[in-house]
Amino acid sequence: MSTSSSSSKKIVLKSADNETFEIDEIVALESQAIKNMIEDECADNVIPLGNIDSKTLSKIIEYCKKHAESPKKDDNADIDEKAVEDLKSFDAEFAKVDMPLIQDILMAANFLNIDNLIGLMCRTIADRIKGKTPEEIRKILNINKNDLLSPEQEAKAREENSWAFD
Amino acid sequence: MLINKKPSANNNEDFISELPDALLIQILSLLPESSANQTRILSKRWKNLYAFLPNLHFVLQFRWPMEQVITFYDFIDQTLSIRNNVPIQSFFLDSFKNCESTRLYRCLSTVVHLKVQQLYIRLTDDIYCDSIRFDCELFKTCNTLVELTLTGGFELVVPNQAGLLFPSLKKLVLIIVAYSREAFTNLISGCPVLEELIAERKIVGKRDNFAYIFCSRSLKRLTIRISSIYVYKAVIDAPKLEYLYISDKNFVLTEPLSLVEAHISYASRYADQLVSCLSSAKILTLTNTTIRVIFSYSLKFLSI
Repeated sequence: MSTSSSSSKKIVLKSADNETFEIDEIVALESQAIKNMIEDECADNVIPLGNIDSKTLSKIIEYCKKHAESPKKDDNADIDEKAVEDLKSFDAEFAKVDMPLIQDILMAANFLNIDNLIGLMCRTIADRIKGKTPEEIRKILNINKNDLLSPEQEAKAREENSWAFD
Repeated sequence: MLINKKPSANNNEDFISELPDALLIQILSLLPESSANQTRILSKRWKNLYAFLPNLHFVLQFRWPMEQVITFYDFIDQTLSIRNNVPIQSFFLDSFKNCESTRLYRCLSTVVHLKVQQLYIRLTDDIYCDSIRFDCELFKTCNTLVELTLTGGFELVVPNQAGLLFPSLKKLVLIIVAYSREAFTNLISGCPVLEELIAERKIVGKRDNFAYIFCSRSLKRLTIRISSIYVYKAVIDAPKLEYLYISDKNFVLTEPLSLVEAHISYASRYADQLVSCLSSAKILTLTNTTIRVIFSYSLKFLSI
């Protein structure tokens, strides 16, 4: 199925909380997983996404819309710098959300296989924990306190990687 | 479809640790190496993820007693075995010469097996220990290694008529490492695609008719920082050479070279000869001292 002739075709996505989103097929194709489903012709009119809630899904659709509209790098070697800058500042704004939502978006982007979005979310998380102490990182990422290392295990790990803790 | 979690309104869960390993490793690989390694102590979920980072980093910080050195190498082995068969991009090892050379050899064999691309090993020199032999034959079949940096207490072991040694190596940096003239010549000829060589060392003691032979069909950049008390000749036979940096007062060139850029930064008394050999370079950089030496020698020459 070619993307150019079907740009007006609509796809409906259904979130875990049963909200439906009608989007242009070209937007849905930003997701490699949906693209594969469509290509294999195993997508019904409505694609149920039972593990993505509507808040996360609407963010993801916002991202895919913007990226589907923007000229792709490999389409044209000298696309104008402004479009690149525009997309960059969109990404920066897009990532200004709280950590739980970032994690939800990352999980969903991984499920839907949207490479750029996975990269953006990973970079955002990395930026937020960069230069922080392990204690601070545990707070930022809300790491399970029942999963902490024993004092002996922690001491051993600190010794093995002592150069990193200086 | 899976329904495996609730909407994000519930913030009390450790969602990040539920992410697949690949995503957590992608996040870690975006951090500076020290921060990435620090995440080992976050929780049990995170403890072993560092082992899958594309760049592995091991540093033995102090000159520890032997039993702790053994523990250090145990830790490296353990990391590599956790990693299983995931290829390594770069492997950095900073240790002391009092390592067990057999352990180091075994570790390098594993790293080669894991398709390492860049290898950096530094052994802090220690006059109380013998040099560690670095066996170049280990890399004969390593098609992935493109960059090798060795610093410190190594002695290069290069078999005679070795043939191919580093099939894909593009950049070689040897700092303080010891090698014989023959070993060096064989080494260079065993690197068919070598583009950049940086050699830095002291030559102790007099060697008659000592000559360095840089013979390479592929070499583009050459940096020589060799300090020796005695004069030695250098033969550079590298048709593709574009850049040459020399910082050595006893370095003598006999044949002219056609280069793009040359840099001489030493008060060499053979500087005038060097300059004439390199005069066709498009950019020729001479330091103040080099110019002064050329000037004073030419004055001396004129006054005779």
